[in-house]
Amino acid sequence: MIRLSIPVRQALSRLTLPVLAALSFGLILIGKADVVVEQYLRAKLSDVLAPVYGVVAGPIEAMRSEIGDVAGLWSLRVQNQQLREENQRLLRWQAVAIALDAENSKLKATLHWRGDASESFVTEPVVADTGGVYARSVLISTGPNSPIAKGQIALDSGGLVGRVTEVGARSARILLITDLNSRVPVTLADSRGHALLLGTNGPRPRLMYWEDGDAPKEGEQVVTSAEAGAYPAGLPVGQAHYIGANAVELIPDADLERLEVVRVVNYSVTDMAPPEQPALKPSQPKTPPPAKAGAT
Amino acid sequence: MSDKLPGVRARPSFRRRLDEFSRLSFPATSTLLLILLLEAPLGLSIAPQLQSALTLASLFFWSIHRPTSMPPWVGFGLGLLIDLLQMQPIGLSSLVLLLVIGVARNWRHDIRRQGFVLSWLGFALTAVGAVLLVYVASSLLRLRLLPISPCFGELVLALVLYPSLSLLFAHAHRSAAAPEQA
Repeated sequence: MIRLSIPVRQALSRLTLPVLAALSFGLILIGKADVVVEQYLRAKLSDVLAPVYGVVAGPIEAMRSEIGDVAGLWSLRVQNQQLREENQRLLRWQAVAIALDAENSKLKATLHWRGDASESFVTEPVVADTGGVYARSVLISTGPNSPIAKGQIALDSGGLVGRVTEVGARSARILLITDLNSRVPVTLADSRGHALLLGTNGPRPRLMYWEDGDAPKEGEQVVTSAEAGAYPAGLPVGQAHYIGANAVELIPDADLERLEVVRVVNYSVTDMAPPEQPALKPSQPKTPPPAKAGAT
Repeated sequence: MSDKLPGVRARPSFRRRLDEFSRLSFPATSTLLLILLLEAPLGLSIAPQLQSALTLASLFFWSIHRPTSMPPWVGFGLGLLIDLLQMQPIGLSSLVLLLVIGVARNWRHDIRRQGFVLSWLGFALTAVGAVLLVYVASSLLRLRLLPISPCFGELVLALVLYPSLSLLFAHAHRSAAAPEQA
């Protein structure tokens, strides 16, 4: 070790704080100018943390479900009654669904409907809640040769969760639809009108920019739209809910506050591209917008 | 510490030095573990705010009571980690935490003389400054006005938790974080 005289050491220790502060400031500027380094560092850190959280997630989940079980014991009777009623209602809906499914496939056969793009999916556990004060995202742990790629779509048992924004060797980050940067083109299920879903960082994103006369109804189901080619059409997103005269929030179908497992789906939208269309620009992304199959 | 007393003494054993090191690094490691713990999917919607608030409180307390255990590079590293985890512009939290350390070191002698209420007040001022700085800088860097409510949440959490946290820290200050007891 180098022996330094006491005044030099004192001067050095007084200098570290300003030097590090200047370095931080420089990092902010570099990060602003070039996002690649930032994304690389985040992916590396996620790769290190994902297996660790994967191990810890087991006990945490067990603890949470244990607490839930104990709490559930108190309301067992009431819950049982509720479940019976709900079951009856669902059985009625099941009969309707089977009938509609049969009718739907008959109609599709008559129309020579090409069908939706082929899809494949992987289901992965959510290992960390990587949102910040100004961001909403989750980290999923993936296998080494996972087919997950940037831009794929994440769903939970309820509905749309978000899109994959970063992929590392053992982890991937999903930007939730509630994040401030999230924009999802949506369709209002009843009126078939288009709108845009904007994240606000709050638990409920805002529904905006609908067409004149197509204002969403209270409780109307909102599904994704294939416009812009980022999402396949018809994935459930949530229900519209008025909080003011012209302010509509969306109550997400997905349980975004407590994500445990997500399904990352690869909708190969390329299958829907019209054949032999000359590319306008050589650097166009590989996923051209899907053919507008049936505007309604 | 031991350098201040004259005289010849035996070279400390490995175990003793390990003990000393673990006590010396207690503030930094405990803060690091808290940050990592709050990153796990606990189902807490206020986890990010809690993460920032606890880091602020911990850095402020230790910079006042054991500045040798909370050197600037630790603040810098913890800030980088928070920025990476919370998807903030890299370097922003580092800068803010370094400023917190600087402010706390500046006030340290006055606050230690005066007692708890003043230290709470000092922390409140520092926290308001830190949270506002992060808010303004984040908004500027994203060229967009961010919602201000999460930052209020963070501030309230920090102020409410500081007394109980400082009790805990003060206990650790005399036991687990005291290298002179090694």
